[in-house]
Amino acid sequence: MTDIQTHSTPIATTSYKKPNFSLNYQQRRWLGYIIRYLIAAILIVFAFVPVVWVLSASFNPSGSLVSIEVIPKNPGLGNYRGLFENQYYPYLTWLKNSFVVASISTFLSVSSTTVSAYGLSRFRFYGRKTLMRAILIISIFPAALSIIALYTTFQQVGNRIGILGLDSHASLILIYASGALSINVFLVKGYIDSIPLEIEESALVDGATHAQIFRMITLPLAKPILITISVLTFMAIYGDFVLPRILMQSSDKYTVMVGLYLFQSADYAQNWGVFTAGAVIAALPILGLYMLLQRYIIGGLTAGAVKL
Amino acid sequence: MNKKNAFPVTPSTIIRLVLVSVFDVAVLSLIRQLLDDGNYPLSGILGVVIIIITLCFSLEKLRYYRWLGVSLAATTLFVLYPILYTIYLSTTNAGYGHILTKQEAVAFLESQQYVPESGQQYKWTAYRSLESTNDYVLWLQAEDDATFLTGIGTATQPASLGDDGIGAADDKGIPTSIQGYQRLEKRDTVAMIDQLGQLEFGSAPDIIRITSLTVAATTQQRYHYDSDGDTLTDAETGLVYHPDEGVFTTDDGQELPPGFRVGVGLDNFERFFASSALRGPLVRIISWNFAYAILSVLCSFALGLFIAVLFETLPGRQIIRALLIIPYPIPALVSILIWRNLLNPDFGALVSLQNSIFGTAPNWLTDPKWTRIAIIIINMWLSYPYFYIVSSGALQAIPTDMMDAAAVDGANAWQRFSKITLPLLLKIVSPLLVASFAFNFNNFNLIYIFNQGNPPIAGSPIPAGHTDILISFVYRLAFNSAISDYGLGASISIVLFLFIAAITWGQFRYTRVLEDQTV
Amino acid sequence: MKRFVFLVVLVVLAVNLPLSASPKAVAQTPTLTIWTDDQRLPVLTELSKAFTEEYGVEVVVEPQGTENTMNTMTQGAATGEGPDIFTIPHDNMGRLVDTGVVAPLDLGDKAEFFLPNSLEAFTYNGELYGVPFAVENDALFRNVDLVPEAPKTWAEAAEIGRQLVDEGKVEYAFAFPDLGYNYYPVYTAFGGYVFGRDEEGNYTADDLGMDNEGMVAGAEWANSLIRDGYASENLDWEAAHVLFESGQAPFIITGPWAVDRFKTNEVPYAISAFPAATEDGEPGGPFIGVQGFMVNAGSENLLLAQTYLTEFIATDESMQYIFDNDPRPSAWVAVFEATEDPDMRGFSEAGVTGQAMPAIPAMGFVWDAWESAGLLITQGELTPSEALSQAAEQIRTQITESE
Repeated sequence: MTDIQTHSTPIATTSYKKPNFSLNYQQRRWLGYIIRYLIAAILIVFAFVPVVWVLSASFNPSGSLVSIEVIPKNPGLGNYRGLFENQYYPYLTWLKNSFVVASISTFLSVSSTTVSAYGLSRFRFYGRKTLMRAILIISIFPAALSIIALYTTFQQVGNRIGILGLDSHASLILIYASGALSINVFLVKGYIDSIPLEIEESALVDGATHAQIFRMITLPLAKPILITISVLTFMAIYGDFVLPRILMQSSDKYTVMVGLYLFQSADYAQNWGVFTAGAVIAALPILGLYMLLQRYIIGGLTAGAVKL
Repeated sequence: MNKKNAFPVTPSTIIRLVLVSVFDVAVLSLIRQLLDDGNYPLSGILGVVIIIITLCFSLEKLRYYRWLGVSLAATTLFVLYPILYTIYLSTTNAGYGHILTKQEAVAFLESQQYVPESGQQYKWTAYRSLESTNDYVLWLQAEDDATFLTGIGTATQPASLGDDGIGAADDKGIPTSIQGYQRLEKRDTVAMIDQLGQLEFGSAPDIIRITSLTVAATTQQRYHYDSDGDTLTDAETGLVYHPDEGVFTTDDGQELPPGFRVGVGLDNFERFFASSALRGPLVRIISWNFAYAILSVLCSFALGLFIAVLFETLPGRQIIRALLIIPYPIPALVSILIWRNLLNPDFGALVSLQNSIFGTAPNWLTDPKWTRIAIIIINMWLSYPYFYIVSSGALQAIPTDMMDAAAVDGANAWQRFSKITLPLLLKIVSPLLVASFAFNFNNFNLIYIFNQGNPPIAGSPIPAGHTDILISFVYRLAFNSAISDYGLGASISIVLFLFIAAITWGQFRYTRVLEDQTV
Repeated sequence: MKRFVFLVVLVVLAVNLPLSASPKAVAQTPTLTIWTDDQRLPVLTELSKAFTEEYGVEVVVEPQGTENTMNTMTQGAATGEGPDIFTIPHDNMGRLVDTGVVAPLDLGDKAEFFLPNSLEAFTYNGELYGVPFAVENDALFRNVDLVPEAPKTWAEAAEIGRQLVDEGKVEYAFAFPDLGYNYYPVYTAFGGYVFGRDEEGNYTADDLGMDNEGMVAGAEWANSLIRDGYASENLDWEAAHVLFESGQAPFIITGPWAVDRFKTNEVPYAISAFPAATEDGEPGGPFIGVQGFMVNAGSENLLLAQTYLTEFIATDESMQYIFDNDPRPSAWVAVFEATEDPDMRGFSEAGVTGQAMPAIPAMGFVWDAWESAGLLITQGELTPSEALSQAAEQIRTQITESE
């Protein structure tokens, strides 16, 4: 073993230390660019395969999962028409439900996340660390059976207060909003940690209360992370289908993800054409929102990570 | 008591206290109603919520907790309570055939009626009072064609056409009106039938109820529960039932559904630990669960970081970035279903591509190894954009002067990356990696939507799959099969949670999640 | 602290104010909720408009599917959840009756208008629990362009298929939606069965045939095709139907639900009865499933739901409407006998050798285990006999535990 090593090492070093490329610096730079653009191209293909497929399938009139051609033979809007003209599956209502539920939940959830994060960041009190640990540990509980508790809770409450029962959007919103004490708290807390204390201290001296400081100073400064968290939370709620599938029981209360799942898990026919059209439409607003706020999200995520 | 002056009663204090009182009153009234339903667990947890809110917002000592009060209360109710509930379920036989509480089962059985042998069946016609909308009489026609008239709480009287107050008969021999009452047409009768069905006509003990659109009968309560002897008696057959393992059972073993759930102590845990056949698949599931979570995080992170480093200085990186993060905002349900389709062994676009290039393609949905690989690849696709964004941000945060110094010292690019950049970067993103691990550990959606945990594991006493993770397995056990064994599912969740918590606790110690930058 | 005490006093006072605990008021005009599957959704929605017209009762029809309906009914219905009425294949009845969540029905003198075996399928412990509307079973579909004559034995079918693959005309010799329900005619041809019957002719959980020789021999038939590459290693309901309708497989065993899509895709199909194991053997028989309406025992509209079924569904017009818009052999004698549709006749002929799906509660344990076994066989992970004995073991364990 030792023999081989002593022999091979010098050879290796000599041959690698002086690479015999007859390329000058400029050429090497260009070569580097070309290689990197190639890699970028491959990755972009990887990223886009499913996107292209779903778009192509949504314009493919055949409506089944055999649609290998990238450009369908006779593309048409039949699937989209099928989606909107189907009176038994109120797709637009689902879309609206998703937006209502996700918007309200996101607002409530992000508000309480931010307030909690401020408290955890700015004050030292008994039980603070334990609390933070507990939040992390609870988040890994395999909560498959929590569904039963949530289901029965809303059933029982609903027997007394109808608007808070099963099949109400309020039940979904309450559950989503209560997800505030999650990993997001740490992202926001990390960000607030990085806001210099001096500004707040001078305000305190001027007689401002913490609530005022929070509103007037911290919130505006934390805008990037708040936008990020909001978009991420919105996307997560918008994309969830497990909870609404179980808690919502009438089809006009469904969210769009439940509806989409319904299209492809029906007893007798999986309608891929309509599913793909529905998927494209459901993804578009989120994609738009994301593109619109991309700058903030990237800023918030990177800052949140760096400042965590 | 000097403190009192430090916290003067301001308008905001008053508003706060008023809000807290309003909240407390509302929740307490809900609790009172729930207590009427005999619902102690939910009442209890709502009580805890009230205490948290009230204490946080009224005690000066706990003023810092005010910032967390609402979140804590919500978490208690919707996160902690379900976990406690799971613990409770693990000590019961809850599941198929044992869904109800005993109280609910007894109430259900006691609400059942039967027609005793001495009972009579009639054809009926209803007449509504002209004065009160809640008062009705029935015209009854027994099987021997004798006719009667009965009202709510009044004894059933023989009546016949031509009697006083009884209107002319229609072609079926039924009076068209009764004095003070108007005959209900079929249309109205149908719409109101369940309202009518709740009414008790005649007088005790011969209570007459409507049992269908055409039939009314003297009915009696079928089951009587005796709480002293804890027995249930069937008035129709005379059988006596005793509760046995959550079902009312006669001495000779006849069971009466519905069953109810009863405490079984640690039986579920025993079943779990005693069943070696169950442990086999479970060990696989656990190891795959860890491999899946760790590989998902590492691969996605590695790819994201690779892209971030590679394109950091590339001209046109904004466009590349905009294109590369496209997977991120697409709802996961949609992406996963599309991937499932792309990899369909018979029709998948990617499979036929592989077939035409390599002449063969792996069985992405049926071969255990390849299904797992597919899941990791899909998860990479789903989450590399996140790590790409995070890494490129973190890279910018690493001071460039350190790099320059290293370059001067003669370190090559790889050495600079592995010795300086990577450790610094890891330090920055490690909390995110932990968070991502925790998320993926319970990433039910991906597993369930992609292949529902399949392909199946051979030799498992309960159907389980090679790509099942804990949460999908527990879900399968509790909801997705005929077994519906909540008790066993809950106990497995708990054992495994303890196990994972111990491991994860160790991980936290090495990350900065719990540290503070400003102290 | 003082402030806290003050608050507590305030709250205690406030709570004792008589806040109304309003019990659910009985709605003046009730609404009937019906859960059904994707294919019956439009049919029942349109049909029920006539009921609304006639009685002023609104009817809401929801697409929930069998699985979700069963979950809600067995897990939530006892505490008041679920629809008033739902449609379900009759094999689920045992579990529903066993959990006490469905109400018995009385058809009165209308019983004679139903096919006797369809009512029998919904009868449990002497009580009727469902109003049947369709009797359905699989048949053998073949692509007549490729296979003009129906095969007489399964060996012959395999031979025809193999030859077509070898000639390059098709991708696979046979399309398998699963190796369970839609494969039952093969199992039975070789002598397999799921549950045997007791002396009185009722299915009994004591005689589970899942791992008997006939079942294994039946599974071997598909296994040899798969192992030789003449059938897909991927067992997928949807993919199998696409294989057939795109002409890539000459045979498929499936039911009336597929007729529509095959017509849409213009595949030249013919329906026939099932082949036998050997030339002089008995032909295999499919499971006969009866689709019917059941009533939630916990429904607030129990009597109305029963009235809807007895007064409105159990009529010539409604049964004809259901048949016309979702063609499956009707359970209503008048409609059944008037049917001239050759496809429906084909199904009926294929069903002659069939057996009613067992509706005992233990049937619920069969499906998952059977599905797993099918996947394990097609993937080559286990031999048919290993896979089926494992499934049998799983089912027996669950039967024992549930007792």
